[in-house]
Amino acid sequence: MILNALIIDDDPVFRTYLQKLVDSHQHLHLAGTAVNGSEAREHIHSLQPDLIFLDINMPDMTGFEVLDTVKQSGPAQVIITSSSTDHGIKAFDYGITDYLVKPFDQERFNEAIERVVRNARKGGKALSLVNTLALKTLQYIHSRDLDSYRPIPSRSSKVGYVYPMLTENLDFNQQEKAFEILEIAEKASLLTSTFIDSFYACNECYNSYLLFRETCPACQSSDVFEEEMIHHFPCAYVGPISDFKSTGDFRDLICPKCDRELKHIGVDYDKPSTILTCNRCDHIFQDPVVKAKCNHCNTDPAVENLIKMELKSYHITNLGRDAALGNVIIDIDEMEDLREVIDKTSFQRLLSKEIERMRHIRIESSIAYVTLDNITELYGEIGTQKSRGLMKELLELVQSEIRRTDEVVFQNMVTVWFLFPEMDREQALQTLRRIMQRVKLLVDDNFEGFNLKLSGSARPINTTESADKQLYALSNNN
Amino acid sequence: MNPEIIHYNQLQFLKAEPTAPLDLNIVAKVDAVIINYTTHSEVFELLRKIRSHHDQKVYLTPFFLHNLTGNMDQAVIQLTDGVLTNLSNLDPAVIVVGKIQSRMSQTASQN
Repeated sequence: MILNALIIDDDPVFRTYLQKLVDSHQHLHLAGTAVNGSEAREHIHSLQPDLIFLDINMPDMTGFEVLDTVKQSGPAQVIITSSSTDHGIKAFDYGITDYLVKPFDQERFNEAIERVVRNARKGGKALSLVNTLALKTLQYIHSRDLDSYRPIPSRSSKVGYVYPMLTENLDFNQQEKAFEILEIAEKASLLTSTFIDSFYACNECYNSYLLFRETCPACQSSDVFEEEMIHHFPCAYVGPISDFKSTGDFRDLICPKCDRELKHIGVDYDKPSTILTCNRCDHIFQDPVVKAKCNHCNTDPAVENLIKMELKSYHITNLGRDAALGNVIIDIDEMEDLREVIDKTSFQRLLSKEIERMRHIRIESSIAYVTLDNITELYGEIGTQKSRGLMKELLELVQSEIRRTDEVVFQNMVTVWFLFPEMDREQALQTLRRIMQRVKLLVDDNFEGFNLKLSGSARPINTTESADKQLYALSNNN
Repeated sequence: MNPEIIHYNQLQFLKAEPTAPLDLNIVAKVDAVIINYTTHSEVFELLRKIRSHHDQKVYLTPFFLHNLTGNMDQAVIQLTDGVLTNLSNLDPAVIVVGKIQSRMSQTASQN
């Protein structure tokens, strides 16, 4: 959840200080600043902020006069910032969220923002992307009077299908969310579904246009050649067809063991199977590893690790129709939680800020990752919904093991990223080992017969490299 | 010539090229949009702009394609409310717009 914040204060030094705090907070986006009461009124009307930091004493009007404007204009939450506690009681009578006495530190600031975020979630003041898109979709189905809301095959879509209205609202890189939103809407009884088909997509980016190849189980090379196996009945020799072609004439097959010519398939010989040879390492094998190369995210997972997607058509329910008509408020915030679990953008932003901070203060901070190496096998077994629940549980567990100042997000369903401010690599690795132990214990205890494998590493944050570059290196374990 | 308002049967159709700048506030004021089909990506991009708008009057606006080339991407067609081949006879579009507007007015009156 990101809340748009407006800072109203006539003191330029304090405005700058507050601006830095807002910029560094994952749930806040600075929408604007105002230096006096009249500018504040204009900004409140035009920016419609979710949160206002309001100074009580300003030259042209008091903060309470501004508060009257806030009450008329919308549901924004207000945090009073004042150098004294004199106006506290009156301010809380106005229904403000918090009262910060200047000067205050980052911890007190964070505490106030946690309260704001909690209120926003309860009050639905910031309508989540999921709820918005679910509503738009229901309105589309209703306004077009669709009996069946069907996916449309599309080569230009990352997942290969588009859902009208829904997919157009999602960036190319987020198109898979259409499937998730519809699934959650169905779970909330806004839609029912009919199965159409299933298909596999990249487990990293959900791209469904994949290049399948057979690869060598020993060296992973796709430079392999396949040939038929021959079983010569009279002498029981079994070998690849190339063993039988020593004469050079393709049509004549001579057994290398007994030197007899092979005459009739099914009579004196058979072709029971095929055999593959790796051109790189000469490994001979019969069960190649089938891999699916994704040119969108440059990964090359084995096919058993791909994500199975279900393609469905949807039908609006009476409840869904009521929601489309505004008789029922949509609140399907399950995805909202998950969006915060997988929030790479926010992590990237925080890392950039940490790099910037390190340029000014002599500290050592680290980033780290933990990969749940074989968790996709478990996800495949327990299904999407349970997998999501497991991810949330894992995140909670991990959060209980780190400091409040540390950050953790799932980069995807298998990799967790950490940001450890003011912690060197050795300390980060120690923390990581403790986390990996706890995670393994939780998963192995709860899923009988499953043995979770984990790997992880940490690296110091480099102030001369961009956040993008360092995250790329982290992702690629460099 | 872009955009152009076509008045037909007491309805206003906004006719535009997909690549030309389009003020979405105008879309909120007309009954439907007609876009000349050029390429599927250009049409899709415009459709994206309209459907990702926050105003219900914009994102639910009926959207038609005007077929000039005869060769159209089926996926894009299915994302729209229909294809028009003859702009001097908009009767088929009028029927579709009427139905959508009648159902949209239910959502608008209650939202």
